[in-house]
Amino acid sequence: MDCEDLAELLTDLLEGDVDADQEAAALAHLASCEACERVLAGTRDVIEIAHEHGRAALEPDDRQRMFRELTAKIPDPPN
Amino acid sequence: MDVESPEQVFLRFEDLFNANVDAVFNVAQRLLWNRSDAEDVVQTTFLKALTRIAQLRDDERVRPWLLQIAYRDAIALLRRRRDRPTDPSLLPEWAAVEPGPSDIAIASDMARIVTVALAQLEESERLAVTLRDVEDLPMRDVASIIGIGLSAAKMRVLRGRASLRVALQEDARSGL
Repeated sequence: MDCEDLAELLTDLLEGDVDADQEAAALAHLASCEACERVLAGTRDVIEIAHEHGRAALEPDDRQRMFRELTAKIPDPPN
Repeated sequence: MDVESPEQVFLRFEDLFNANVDAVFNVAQRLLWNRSDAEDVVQTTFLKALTRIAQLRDDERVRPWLLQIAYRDAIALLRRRRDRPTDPSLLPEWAAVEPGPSDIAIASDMARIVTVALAQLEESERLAVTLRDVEDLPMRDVASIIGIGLSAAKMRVLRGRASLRVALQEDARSGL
């Protein structure tokens, strides 16, 4: 496996969507390629940062107000 | 299956709203960059959900279904309102309404940094990263919501992550 192969496999590798042979080949390449190892680690960092800090947040008051506004648009009780 | 009373339906609808409103708002906001428009999408999404409430019983499937509606409504709104920019110039408005008293300073700073970085991504890449990494949906749901194949979804997530990495590095270098 070379750097190009690793780049193509990167998403599947992160998804855990690789077979044992692919994983072994990827790990062997990563052990000998600092650049690819940096890309993999950097991508893992980006995923974690996006997950932890990427949401456009709502405050509890916002949720309550939005639900009140939503229910005010319902003409009759649902049935 | 027992027939639910109107009160039971209403309580289930309230639970569904509370469990999913953050994700629906997030997807809409990340596409529209306008809080009022994103709230409009939240309203239309959950009003549609109410009309299908009897079928919405599989919790695992409900969120992707809601997000697909939100995505389609947001895209339709974008097309109707092309005069509204989808760039970071609207961030001051976002920043003015988002901070809450419970936010600790570093979390608010990180959220602002990530928001600025996400805003620099091309729309389709930003949506893919938002669905897969921010909302933690399985790749198959990302593909289904956007209406593309699994391989194409993986490619968009891959490109989006790479773009986000570059944007975050540039933000760090510029001292944001």
